[in-house]
This record gives sequence, structure tokens and C-alpha cells, in this order.
Amino acid sequence: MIAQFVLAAWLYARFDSSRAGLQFETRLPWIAQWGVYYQIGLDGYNVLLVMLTAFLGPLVVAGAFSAIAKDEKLFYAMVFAVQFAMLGTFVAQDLFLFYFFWETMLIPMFLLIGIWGGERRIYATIKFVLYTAFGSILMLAAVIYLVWSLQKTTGITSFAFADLVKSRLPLEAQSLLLAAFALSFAIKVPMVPLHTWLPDAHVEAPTTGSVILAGVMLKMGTYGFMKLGFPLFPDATQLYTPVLMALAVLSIVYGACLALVQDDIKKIIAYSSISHLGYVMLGLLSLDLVGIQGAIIQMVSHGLVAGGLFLMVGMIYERCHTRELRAYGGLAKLLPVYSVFFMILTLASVGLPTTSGFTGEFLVLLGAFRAAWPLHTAGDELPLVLAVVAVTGVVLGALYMLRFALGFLYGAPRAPHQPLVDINGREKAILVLIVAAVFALGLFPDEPMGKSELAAKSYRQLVTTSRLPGAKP
Amino acid sequence: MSDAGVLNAVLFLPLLGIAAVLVAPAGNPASFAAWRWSR
Repeated sequence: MIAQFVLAAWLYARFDSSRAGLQFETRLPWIAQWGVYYQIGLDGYNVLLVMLTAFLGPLVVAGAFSAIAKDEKLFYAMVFAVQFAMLGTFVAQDLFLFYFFWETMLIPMFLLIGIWGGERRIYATIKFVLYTAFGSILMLAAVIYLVWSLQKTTGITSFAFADLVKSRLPLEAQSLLLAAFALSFAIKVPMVPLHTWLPDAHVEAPTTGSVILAGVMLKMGTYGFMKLGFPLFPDATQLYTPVLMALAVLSIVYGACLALVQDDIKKIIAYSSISHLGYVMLGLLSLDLVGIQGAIIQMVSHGLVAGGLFLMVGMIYERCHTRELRAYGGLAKLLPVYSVFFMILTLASVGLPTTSGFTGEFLVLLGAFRAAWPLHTAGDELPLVLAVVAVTGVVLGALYMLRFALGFLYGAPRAPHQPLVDINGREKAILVLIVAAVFALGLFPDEPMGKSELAAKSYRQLVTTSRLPGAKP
Repeated sequence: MSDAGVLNAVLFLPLLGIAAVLVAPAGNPASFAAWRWSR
């Protein structure tokens, strides 16, 4: 995992932000007569997410050292397998390959939750797989139709993203295909009302599973929307933008409201993820350059912050064996070093300036307002209303995270299984790296934003260019 | 190795990791590192 991170960091440094399109590309025939190629590469869409996946990988493994005692070999094999599938999904540039990795990811994740999870792990893992597989089957049908229609209209049989974005489809077909892709991706994000698998999966998953889920896997959904869902069907996307935007804002507010009333500390972070990823969707749908870049930064930020918080929940669970918020209090006195890291990540989740959470949320909201204002002056009030409602998510975010921190860290000291031992060197090292990345992204967002700028422009151009039959190329 | 080769290595290294944990005496990568070091 460390070697993988070093190589990914090397590629990140070598990635040329001034060059649009694919870099470090490999294209080899796989099933040539079907037009299926093993095609991978990095572009502005995936470079930050590949980096995030490679960064969290070693930390996830290091975080599991003391937590996993059963079937260690199989456990780490599954962690590696899920890492392989997640990276494959991000770097794939062929829809067949993308779908292959997308589906492959389910198997190790199913086993991680099902074998090493909590008491209700079987229920949670089956619910997770049923939801995701249902969306995937619809996406498969859409993929087949898309490739068939490309072949019919252009004579090209190809699964390559670069070819598929040339397909021209009537609005009805675009709408149906977008619905199929969107359902699959929205389940993964997850967007309200398709979110109910997430709290169960998070609560029952081992810490490693929760960190993988929150840190990387949820971004598969938002990445899917950005790379495929919206650019492949631009006319349908524009038609349904108000509906999708309303669902994104609903996710922001509803996720935050649910986080506010939870007593399970894992559920608080799980519901906060729904809220934070709602911002990503809002940024992508704003079609404003700042908003789109904010969405990409928010994806990385959420991966770091939620991943870090889940690791911290795992650390306290190993010591106290309960996730009930009411069982804790005054941890600032009992575990002072742990509490400092916890407070930093809490403030990053709230979106305090200098942290990555601020950069992401601020840019998304700025983008949403920049996009909504011209529409407001033209008489369309909905985008502005939605942007204003989205701001309340920031306030609610502060409310539920500070309620969490207040109950957890302050008041009379109480926790099961005392006396507690503060975090050890391994745990400190993990948290120092995460906190350093959170501040790096918050204080110096220029570099990662530069890497994704051309991709954000290309995304906006693809989604705003009509591809109805007969439209000008 | 070309940059494209490095990207392929990034993608396929986890498969090497699977093989590594399966041949190591214990699944924990720390134990694996200690085992390799002792040989």
C-alpha cells in the first residue's frame, strides 16, 4: 500500500495540469470484436481521487492492526481487493472496464461487512448489496443500449468514454438512460431517498469498512455522475437539473437533520456524509466552474475528514466497546491527545476556514449562487432558493457536529472500561497524516484545483452542449 | 518504466498485496514485514 501511494504521488507530481485530456494512457485490446479495450489513464477528473484512494489505503491497513483478530489473511486480502477495484473504477476509460471494476468492488465489500461486521452484519451487507446491485443492473441495461445506439448511428462499436460522448440520442432516450445511470450512481452517493442502506452498512461494518465506504466508495457515485452520467446525456441533464438539484439540497438538509438526532456516533458521521455529498452534487449541477471545482475538492475533503472521523470512532470503540454517545463524556480529560485530533476533524467537518471542509463547501456554495443569480434576474427563482436552503446545511452541520463534540469531549468524565489509554504512536501517526492533508487542502487549494481545472471546464462544456440528433457538433 | 507503466503498477500493486498476505505466516501486514525482515 505504501509503495502504491509513493507511485501515485509520483504520478500526481508528473501530472501536467496545462494539458487537457488523458495522460499516462494504456490502451490494449481486451475483447476486440465487441470494441472492449483495457484502457486506463489519468485526467483532471480522477487524478485527485486516485491520490485520495492511494493515500487512505495504508492508513486503513494501519488502522486495522489491532482491531482485526479473526481471519486476518482473508481480511487483508479483501482490503487489497477493494483497493484494486476502487482504483480500477477511477482510472478506467472504457465503460466495460468501468462496469467490471464497479461490480468487482461489491464482492470484497460484501465480505468485509458480512464477516468482520457487528451483530446485524448480515442484514446490513445484504441490504448494501441489494441496493447497489439493483442500480448496477439498470446501469448495465443502459450501457448495452448506449453502445448499441452508438453502433447504429455512427457504425463504431466502442465502449470508450471518448467515443460514447459522441453519441447522439433523442431526448426521450437520453432521459431513460440518464435515469438508469443516475439511479445507480445516486444509490452509491447516496442521495435521499436512496440513502437507507448507508447508516446500516456503516454501523455494522468494521472500522476499515466504514473508512473505505466513507473515504472512497461514496465518491464513486459522484465521480460517476461527473464522468459519465451528466456528460453522456447533456440534454436530459439540463431538463432534470431542477429535480436533481432539489434532491441534492434535500440530501444536505435531511442528512444534517438526521445526524442531529442520532445517539450512535457512527450514525452521526454516516448521516453527515449524506449531507456533505449533497454539496458535491449541488456543485456539479451548478455548472459553474467554481462550483464544479468546489465539488471535486469537497469529494477529497470528505474522504479525508469522514475517513479520519471513522478511524477515530474505531479507536474509541476498541477501548470502550460502545458507540452510544450517551455513554461518553469528558474525553478531553480522559484522552487529551485523542480529543485534540477529534476536535480538529470535527471543525474540518463543520467547514472551519483553513481546513479542507471550508474550501470545498465555500466553493460549492459560491458556484451555486453564481449560477443562480443570472437565472434569478431572468425570473427563475428556484436555483436561488435552493442555494439559500443549501446554506442552512452549513449551520445544521455546525449544530450536529458541535453537539457531538460537546457530549463526547466535555462535561463530567465518563466512559466504559476505564482507565483508558490515550492513542499510541501508530494511531497518532495515522491522525497526523490525515490532519496534515486536511490543512494542506484547506490552506493551499491552488495546486489540486489547478490539476482539476481543465477537467471542470471540459465537464461544463460537455454538459452544456446539446447532443440531440441533428444538433450542431 | 514509463509513466503509463507506473499507473499500471499503481492499479495492480494491490493484487501483489493479496498474494503477499496469503503467503505470509500471519495476515497482518506488520507481521508480514517482520517475517520478511527476519529471513
